[in-house]
Amino acid sequence: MKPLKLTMSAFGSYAGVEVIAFDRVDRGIFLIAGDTGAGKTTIFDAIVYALYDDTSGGKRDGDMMRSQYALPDVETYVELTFLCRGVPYTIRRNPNFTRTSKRKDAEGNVKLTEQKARVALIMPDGTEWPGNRTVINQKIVELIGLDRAQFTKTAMLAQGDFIELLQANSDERKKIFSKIFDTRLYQTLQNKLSDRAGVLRQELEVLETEVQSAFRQIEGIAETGHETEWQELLSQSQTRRQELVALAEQVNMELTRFQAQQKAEQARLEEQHKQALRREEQGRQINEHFAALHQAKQAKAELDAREGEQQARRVQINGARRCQEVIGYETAYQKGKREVTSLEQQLTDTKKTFQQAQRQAETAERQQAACEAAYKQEYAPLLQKRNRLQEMEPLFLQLEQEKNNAQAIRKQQKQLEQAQAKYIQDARQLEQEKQTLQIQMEQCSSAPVRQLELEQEITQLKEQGSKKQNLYLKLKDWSSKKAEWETALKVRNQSVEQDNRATAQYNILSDIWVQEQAGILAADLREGIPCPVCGSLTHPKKAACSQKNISQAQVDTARTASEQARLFREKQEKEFASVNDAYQELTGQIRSEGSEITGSGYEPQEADIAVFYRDVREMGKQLKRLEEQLKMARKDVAFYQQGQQTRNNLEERLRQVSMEQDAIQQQLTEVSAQAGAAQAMMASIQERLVYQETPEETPSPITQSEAVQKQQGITETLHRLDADLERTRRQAKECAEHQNKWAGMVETSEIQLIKCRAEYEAGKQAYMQALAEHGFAEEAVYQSSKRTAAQLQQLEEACTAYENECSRIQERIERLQQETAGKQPVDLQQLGQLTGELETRRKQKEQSISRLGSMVDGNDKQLTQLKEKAEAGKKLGKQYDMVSDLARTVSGNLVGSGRIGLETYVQRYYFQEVLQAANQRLLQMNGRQFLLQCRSLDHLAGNTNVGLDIDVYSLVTDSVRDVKTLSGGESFMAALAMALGLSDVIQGRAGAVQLDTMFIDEGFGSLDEESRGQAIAILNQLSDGNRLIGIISHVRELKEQLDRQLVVKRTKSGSQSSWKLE
Amino acid sequence: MKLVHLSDLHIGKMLHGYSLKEDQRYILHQIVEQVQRLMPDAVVIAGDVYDKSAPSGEAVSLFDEFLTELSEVKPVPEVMIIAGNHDSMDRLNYAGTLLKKLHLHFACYLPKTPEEYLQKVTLQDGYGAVDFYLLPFCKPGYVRQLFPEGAIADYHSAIQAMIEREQIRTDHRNVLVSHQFYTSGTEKPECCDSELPSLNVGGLDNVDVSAVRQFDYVALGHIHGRQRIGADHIRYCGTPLKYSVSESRYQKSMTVVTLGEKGTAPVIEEIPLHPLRDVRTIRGEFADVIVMDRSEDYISVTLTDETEMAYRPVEQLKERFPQLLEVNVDNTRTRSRMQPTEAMGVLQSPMELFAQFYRERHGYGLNAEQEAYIQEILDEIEEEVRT
Repeated sequence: MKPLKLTMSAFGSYAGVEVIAFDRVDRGIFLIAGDTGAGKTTIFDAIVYALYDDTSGGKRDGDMMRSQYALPDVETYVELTFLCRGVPYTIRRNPNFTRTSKRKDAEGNVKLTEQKARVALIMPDGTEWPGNRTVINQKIVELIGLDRAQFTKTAMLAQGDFIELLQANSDERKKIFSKIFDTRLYQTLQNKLSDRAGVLRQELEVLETEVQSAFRQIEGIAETGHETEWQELLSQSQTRRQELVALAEQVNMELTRFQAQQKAEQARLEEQHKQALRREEQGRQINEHFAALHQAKQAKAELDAREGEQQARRVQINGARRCQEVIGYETAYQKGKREVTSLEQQLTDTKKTFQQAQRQAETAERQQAACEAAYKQEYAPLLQKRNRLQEMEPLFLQLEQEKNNAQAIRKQQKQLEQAQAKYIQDARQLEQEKQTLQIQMEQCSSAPVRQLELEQEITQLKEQGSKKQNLYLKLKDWSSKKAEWETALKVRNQSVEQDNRATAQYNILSDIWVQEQAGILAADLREGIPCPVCGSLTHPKKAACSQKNISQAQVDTARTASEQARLFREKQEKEFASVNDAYQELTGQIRSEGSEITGSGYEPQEADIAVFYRDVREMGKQLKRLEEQLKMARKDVAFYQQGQQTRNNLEERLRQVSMEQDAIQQQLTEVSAQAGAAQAMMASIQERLVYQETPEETPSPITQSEAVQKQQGITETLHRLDADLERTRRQAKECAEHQNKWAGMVETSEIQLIKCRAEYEAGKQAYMQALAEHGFAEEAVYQSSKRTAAQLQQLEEACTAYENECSRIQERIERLQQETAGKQPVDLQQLGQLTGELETRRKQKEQSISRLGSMVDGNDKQLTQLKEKAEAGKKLGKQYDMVSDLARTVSGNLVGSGRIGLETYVQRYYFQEVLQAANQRLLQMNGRQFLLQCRSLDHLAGNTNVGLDIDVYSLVTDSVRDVKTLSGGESFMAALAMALGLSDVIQGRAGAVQLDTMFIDEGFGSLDEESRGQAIAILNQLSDGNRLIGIISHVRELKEQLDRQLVVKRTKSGSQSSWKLE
Repeated sequence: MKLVHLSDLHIGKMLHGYSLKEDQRYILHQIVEQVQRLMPDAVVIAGDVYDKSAPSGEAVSLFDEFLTELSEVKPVPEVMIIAGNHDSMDRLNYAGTLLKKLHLHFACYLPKTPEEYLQKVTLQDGYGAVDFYLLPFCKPGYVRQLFPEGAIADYHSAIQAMIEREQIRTDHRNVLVSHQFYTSGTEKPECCDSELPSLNVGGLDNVDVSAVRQFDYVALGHIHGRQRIGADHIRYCGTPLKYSVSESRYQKSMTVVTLGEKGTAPVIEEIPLHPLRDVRTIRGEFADVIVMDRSEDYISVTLTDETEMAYRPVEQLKERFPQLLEVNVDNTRTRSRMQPTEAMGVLQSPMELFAQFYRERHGYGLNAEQEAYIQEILDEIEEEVRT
């Protein structure tokens, strides 16, 4: 995982959007530098947050990351583009935060909304990885190959946290390693072995229970008398299993023998039982025959009693047969009688209807006549009235038109009046404006004069002011120069003094010395020897040596001193002269200028400085005031000029307005005339619109709607008259036709009646004849003998049935008498008892046999099973031993030797490799003083979860101590070495995880100079590869040593970062 | 024209926690005495005057003493000093303009605008003029703005360009004073431990000597061991003191160069420097070492005892050697501990690992049946992983 670009928005101390591009530092070391709290760790936090939704130290929550400097409408998010196995991915993540909403609420205010935490992962091809936050987080962990805990222990050494990997206990380290080095295979192996061992054990147990239950199911123990023996063996079933099995077999054999015996007995009983049954059957048959004979005799007696009924039935049958012959004639006679009566009724009805029709026809004719008379009377006048109304229609239209015209003219008139009023108002307004302007202009007339005055004053004042200013400056200068002059004077005087002194001294010394010389010389003088000086031979007055011993050197010194003093004095004189000149000059200048200002002679004085200063200030203020006034005067002048112009404009407009007013007046008079004409026309038309209902009435005006209505009414009445006439004519015709029809029908009915009477008479005759032929003296006898066909049949059947019954009974009696000749009834009860007994005995025997049989079978089955299970148990036991041994070995549960499992063992392997790689660097860093080693297995004190503990081995003292005894700086070195070692091993193994980035947050401050130098040297070496190492540190030496820096600055509005690359 | 070539004084440096102030004072005084004896025309200090960019007060006083003493040498030589990568340009340049009047030339800044050039000091001798070009430590980023875009890509092109823009008079003799990492083709200068923190091991900051060959003498600083690189007249003079244990075998010296007529090779003389306290290594068994003479030198002790060590060896050794730098133990035990064990690289198969593990736990190996069983489970796991 190597970062390419990091974008933070309103995150941590970054108020706005901060983009950090890593493309220029893709390998080697770079430094993140800045003041405390500038936001350095925030950068690491951002990277860890983007990847794992958590911060580097684990102490800051994602929700705390919103920047307090951020404006409320800026979003908080982190976007990280990084390379993973060579292809770029992008993650964008934001925490929960509140921001202003983009939409306003009902009143137009902005509210705060809560933005939920979200994450998006964009793959190299640009697509987004689908899923919710959890799914995407998992995918990210999969890509990187490490989860958060592992990442922060290997690739990111956070502030104060680096020590955790070092001091983590075995468990945690195991977890990290199992992920990185993929030792889960061994864990799975371990689990599988234990599972299998467990399964096998269970199987064994199941087998044992089955065997026990099989033993319990062996039957027939009590029957064969081996009860006590069996119990004893059963209690020791584990050990004396074979004996148990043998006993069971024996029992089984005895049972079989017993069963055979029982079978023989059962066959005998079977025979006896069959015989008894046969005897019983015979006895029952004989008893039945006797009972039937008794019954038949009784039936015969009954039949004899019913002889009489039979006779009566015969007679009835005969009579009914005769009636049937006569029936035909009777029906014909009845029919004729009925027809005659109906026809008579019909005739009377028809006559009545005919009379009704006659009467109707007469009324219809009368109505028709009345209607025709009315029609003739009314038709003509109505027609006349309608024509009159029609003539008035065009006049109405004309009236309408004239009305519209008049309205239009009135509107025009009103508009013109309005316009006129407006113009009048305008004129008045303009007049007013003119007045006000006039007043203002008079006020400004005096302005130009004022302006000139002011200007003159100002220039004067300025002149004076500058003069005073110059003088003031010069005075200041003068005062300092005066001080100089005084010092120079003092110095000069001093030098003069010194010079005099030195010269005097020198003279004195010189004199003395000379005198001395003279004295010395004189001492050598002897009378007669010439004086070296003058050559005289006599020496009357020899010079004497003075007491003082003055050497040449002293004199020389004095001379040089006096010379020096003289030189010095000359120098001072020169200097003083120059200073003096300058001073006098300046004083002269000041005098002249001062007298100019004051008018009389002027002497410079110190006190004047302050006075002049004040004056100059005063003048300045005055000047300002005058300038203000000048400005105002200028404004007034401008105003006056403008005013004149405006006045001219106003007068022009006034003239325009009055002209327009006149024009409108003219128009108004025209329009009034038009209105009058229209009105007159309307009146004339109105006169012609009158109407009268009847000739006697006076004609009255009528509106158009009334006319139309009247017209309609008249037309309706005319139609009605026509319709009435038509109707009455039709009705009369119809009634006449109706009457004629009914007359015809009466005639036909009479003819029919006569015919029917004749037929009736004939039928009656025939009926009487038939009665006599068939032997019926009267009609009443005939009627009583009638019977239906069904009744007749019934009677005949009853006769024949009786006769059959009699013959049958007789037959039966004869038969039974034959059968029971010479026999007696039998006693069944006794026989039955005997049979029953035999039956029960036989059944019992059968039961016992079958029971024995099932016991034997059952025992057989159990025995075979037992044998099988013994075999299986043996095999299973062996396998279980092997598997459980392996399982215990693998999970480290062996009693005795160090309890370390397979996975831990493998991890130790890798761990030692890691430590070795770490030690290479560690030795270099600490000058071969100590290294890290894995705690040996001998020291593991009986817990299963150790094996990855670290100890510190000191090379010098050959002693081992706990890793917690390392100092802060040493711990940092060790942790750094371990992290580097871990990443080395991972790289070497080309595992699924690529650790090509490393971030170190502080820690260098705890190292002394040499160690730090070594650490940086080591990190430098790493930049050979593809690795990127980012360091946060405030140590100044690192800032100078590392060329590439990301400088983070803290300003009032949040932090900012910038690259400083060389 | 005689000149003394010094560099890398590293005033204020600590050695394994010991302050070297006294030693540095001693050696600087020695240097001044030699200078007085030789009476050269110029003394050239080619960078890394101080050890840190913000030197301590004592370091500053020490350098002040040194310069004062140098300036009192009669006749006073022209002293030319350039800033190295350890120096802070601003601090070293303090009072530079004023000190020029006292024959002390500080060249700490590179030209910033196209009108500025390298500081040049011209001295005269019997054969004519000698131009000294003072080129302080230069990184490409410092001088990029003087040249068109893209002209400066690395250190070599930067140095080359800086030299080319000077108008060097070929009739004069020219001396260049520079503080960089120079290489000649594939030949690199020999380095030692005290340089490690400042070296860019990637080798990207090197300058090839072809850029400076035209000078009559090139006085270099930056490497702590004295040597020539690429040619006889291109030299590093080395540090005046040994600054790390790895330098204990070097002989420290001042380089004195005499330039003759233009065209003749310069005469090089190495004047050895004797330090107040030497840096030495001692190797042997504890019993032998502990009875050696007491010495104030800086000593690195390597004990070779095979047997059990005496109680608290470091304290006892410190009594003998008060300036003890470090104690290392080198016997078969430590050698074996520090040696990487072999066969770590080979990745064994799970089956092999398991067999090994089993043997260690039980003392006997797996039999065929057990092996087959384990293999079956491993296959099953592999099958699961695949699906």
